[in-house]
Amino acid sequence: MFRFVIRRLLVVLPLLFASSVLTFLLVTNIGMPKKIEDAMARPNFSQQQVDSLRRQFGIDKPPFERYKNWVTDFVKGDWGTNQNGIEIRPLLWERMQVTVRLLLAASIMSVVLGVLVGIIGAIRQYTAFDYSMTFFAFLFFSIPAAVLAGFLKEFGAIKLNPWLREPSISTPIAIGIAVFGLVAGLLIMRNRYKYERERPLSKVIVGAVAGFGIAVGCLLVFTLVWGGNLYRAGNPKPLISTVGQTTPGFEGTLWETVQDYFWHMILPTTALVMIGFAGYSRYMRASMLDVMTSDYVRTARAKGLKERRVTVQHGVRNALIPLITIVALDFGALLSGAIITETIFGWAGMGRFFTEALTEKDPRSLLAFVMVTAVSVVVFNLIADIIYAQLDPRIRLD
Amino acid sequence: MALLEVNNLNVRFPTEDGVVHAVRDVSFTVDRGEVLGVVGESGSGKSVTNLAMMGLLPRSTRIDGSIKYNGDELVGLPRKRQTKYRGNELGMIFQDPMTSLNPVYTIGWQIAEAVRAHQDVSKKEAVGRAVELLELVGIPQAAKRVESYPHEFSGGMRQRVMIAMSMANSPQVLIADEPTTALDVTVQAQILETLVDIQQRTNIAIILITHDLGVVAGMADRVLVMYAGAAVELGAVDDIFYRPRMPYTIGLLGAIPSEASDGQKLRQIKGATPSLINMKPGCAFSARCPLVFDRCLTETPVLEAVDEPGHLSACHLRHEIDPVSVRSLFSPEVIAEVDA
Amino acid sequence: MEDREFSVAARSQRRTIARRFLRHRPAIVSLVVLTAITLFVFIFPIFWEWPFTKRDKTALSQPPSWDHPFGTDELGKDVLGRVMRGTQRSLEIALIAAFLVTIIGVTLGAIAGYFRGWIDAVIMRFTDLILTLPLLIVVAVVSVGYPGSPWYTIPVILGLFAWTTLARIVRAEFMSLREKEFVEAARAVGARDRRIIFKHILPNLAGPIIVAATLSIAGTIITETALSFLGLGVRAPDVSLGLLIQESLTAFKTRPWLFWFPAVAIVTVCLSVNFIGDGLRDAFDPKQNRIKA
Ligand SMILES: Nc1ncnc2c1ncn2[C@@H]1O[C@H](COP(=O)(O)OP(=O)(O)OP(=O)(O)O)[C@@H](O)[C@H]1O
Ligand code: SF4
Ligand SMILES: [Mg+2]
Repeated sequence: MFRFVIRRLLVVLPLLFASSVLTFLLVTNIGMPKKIEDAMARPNFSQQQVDSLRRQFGIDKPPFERYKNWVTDFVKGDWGTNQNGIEIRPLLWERMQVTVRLLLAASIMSVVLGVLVGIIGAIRQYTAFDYSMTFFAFLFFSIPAAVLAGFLKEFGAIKLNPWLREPSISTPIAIGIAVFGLVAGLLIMRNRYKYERERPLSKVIVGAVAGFGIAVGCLLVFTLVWGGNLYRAGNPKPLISTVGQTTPGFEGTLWETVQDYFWHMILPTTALVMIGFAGYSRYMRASMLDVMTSDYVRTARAKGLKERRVTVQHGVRNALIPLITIVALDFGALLSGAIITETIFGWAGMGRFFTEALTEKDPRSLLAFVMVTAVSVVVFNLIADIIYAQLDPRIRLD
Repeated sequence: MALLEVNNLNVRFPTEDGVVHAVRDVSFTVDRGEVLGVVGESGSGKSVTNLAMMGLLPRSTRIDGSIKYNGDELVGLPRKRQTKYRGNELGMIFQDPMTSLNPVYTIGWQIAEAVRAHQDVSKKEAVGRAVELLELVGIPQAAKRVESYPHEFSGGMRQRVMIAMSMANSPQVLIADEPTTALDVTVQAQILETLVDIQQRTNIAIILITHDLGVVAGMADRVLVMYAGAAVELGAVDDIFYRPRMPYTIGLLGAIPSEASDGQKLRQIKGATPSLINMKPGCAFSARCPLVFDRCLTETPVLEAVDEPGHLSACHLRHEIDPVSVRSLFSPEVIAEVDA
Repeated sequence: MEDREFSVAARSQRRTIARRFLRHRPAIVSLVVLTAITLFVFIFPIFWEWPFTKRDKTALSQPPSWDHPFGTDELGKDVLGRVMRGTQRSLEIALIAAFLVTIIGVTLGAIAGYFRGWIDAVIMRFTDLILTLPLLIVVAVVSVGYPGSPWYTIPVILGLFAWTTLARIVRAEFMSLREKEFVEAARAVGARDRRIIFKHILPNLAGPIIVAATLSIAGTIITETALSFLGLGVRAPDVSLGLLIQESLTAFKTRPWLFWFPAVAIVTVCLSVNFIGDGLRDAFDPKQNRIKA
């Protein structure tokens, strides 16, 4: 393992070097920083002013020298200041924490959801569940993040918040939920015995009753607990927030802070989860189908194992291997910011850092950002490899 | 009562192209301690018949007829109760040992899992049993190799592991579906030897599916010949090889390269097997049979007795057939030579 | 003789694939919808009296009506004309990018997988390098750096940076296929590398390649929307679906027609493409279609 990491670093370092060159070329071609452009646009600008600004941005020297200086400073940890004279490194660090908080929650949820739905979709292939989940996955794939986030803002917050403050369920909807539970329970049990010779009516009835019971139970819990205003108490603000990652200037107990985080995270997390879910559920379904039709799963069945054990120990265990590495890779790539989502919901994360740096055309910020991104991709690549080797004994690290 | 009794077994797969009738009215029995060879061209339903006995066909498969193990009906058994027989009373090994073992678990783990599926023993005891089983199938240093992963074994060794695993609960029947097809010639002999050895030691009944008629002649007590999903001939090994009563069997035997012919050539009966979707009435072999006559096209022959006891053939001419003259009808135009 | 047999087998296989695809109902419906949309947005504008730049000064910010079925924007531009033009542009962008992705991905993947050794190492390190630079970032930076560049710079850059996944798929397939008997046989009779690559290996990869190419069309449309949302995509006076979304996102509540028509257009096009991709995948890879045991 240690040797593996060392060996990989030998590959990674030249890679990062090449990446830094490419980054540098990219960023130097972006043109003058906006501040200098603005200065030059002023009628009475002096060449001196511009020169001093150029010095300030560090673009007064020939490219090669600039590159050398930048790399040495970057490695030393001196990432310079941005157009407003703010230290870049602490700023980026702060922004990264915000992004990670969002991503971590969203990734975990989309992986859990995607994996569950993928598994069920594969072992209950071509059922109503499978078809509808396939449809939703494709739908989420096909909605641009901007549109999705716009929807969520409108329907998830503006429409839902008043309801959340005064939660109530009308009788027709309550009946609808109960009927849904009944039908779902019935269909699930019917499907379960679809191919068996005797289809025990009693089991199907039990399923329907259980589904109905669960639905009614949920409704009861809702009226008793939630309807009894758990969240309403002393919270006059809109609950689901559409802007920012925290309420500005918010101070409270730990519990209140957590709540504040929670209500701010709901919408962007939902947006990211929907997109992530689409990918992971499809991936997991394909992977699971592949494994469940494999020879070794047939062997596991031939041993006389219970179907549940076959599915979990042999099916899921093997199907997860490629998925987990994909998740690690995605996480590395996403660290550059869920730019669209962050922008729409006004989160000051990596995405905001990037868009700001881009409008200002601030070379140091852009360089730092792209390099951090590259490093995160490389690091998570490494992590993905290590996870893969841990999960699959055929892969050896040394 | 025979150990295993299959009666009028029918297997149908609903597919996008129509219903594939993969096994049609197959009946046969397997006695304790005997070796039944099953032969037939690719696609003749050998695997499907045996997977049906194991309960390993997809859920959507329609299975009719009866499969009785020790008097217990297996067809239509709820999935849950099938697991009581699978791996416990009937074991199975497959064609490709390279892919038949789960790559992420050790050999010992996988065998122990089979043991614990049917026996109430501790993990440690199960691993101990795994070591014994590996010794039984001739894996050296078994105590150490239980820690190995499948990829650390050669193909032949993996097939031994598969055999060991299928024997974990001392089943009464072992189904071996082309156990040596994927292996090197030298390894093939070793695996077959292992099977013979185990059969003699445990008196287990073996159903041996194979394309290798030589192996059948050497190992089997009785032979079942299948064609297009149907059992077309069944009998003692000598009856099948010396007194075949079904043109297909005769053609199949003729297809073994004889000593006279070039050893490099593999011979085959000309023509293709009929589609298993929407089968017409009549003998399925009629399109390729040199003896075909009008009755063959309208009336489906069923498996019926011929002279020798226990010898059955599904051919309208089963009483009249003379193997030697039929064989001459098969060559050389009817039997195509293909490059091996 | 051998060649003919091969082609007969290939033809019947192609027919099976076509049949399987035709049976995939969502894919067929999608194909019809997508074809209809494509024909419509490329042909109908010729007859439509409101090109995307023309202003109807008598109808500013009007909801859908007979004269303007999709309504007008605040400058009196016809939304139907703009959506048609935007769809056109988005499709063009997607096709160019998908074309480049396919060409580059297949070429590099094939070379790496077939020749292996140092060539493979170089190509794969290059792939790793490209992967360190997120696509959106690169396009955004270039877009800001060269503000006057024409619309097709976007798909070209997208294509130049998005081929990595396909290259990896093709490479892996080549690695395993080049060991197969039929390739060995071709090599034994002295076929040259080029012939082996194009005649013997690539046809076997048609499935994954076509599927990847299809899906990258949908991916590009989504990416273009993201770019336009950040103001870095297609620029006015030209329009793309992404740009229309970006312009109308704030008008979501006051003039919903500005938002809904382009939004529905994007989702319909992408959904169709995704379903077609799914149908193709099923048709080429029947293994996924049924559980064996
Ligand atoms: N799950 C399935 N769905 C549809 N058809 C199937 C399925 N499994 C098998 N078949 C069909 O059933 C027929 C019999 O197949 P089977 O595997 O039993 O042949 P076999 O005699 O074992 O051939 P081989 O010697 O090649 O192993 C074949 O035509 C096959 O295509
Ligand atoms: S029944 Fe007729 S066609 Fe069938 S094998 Fe006998 S002779 Fe041939
Ligand atoms: Mg078989």
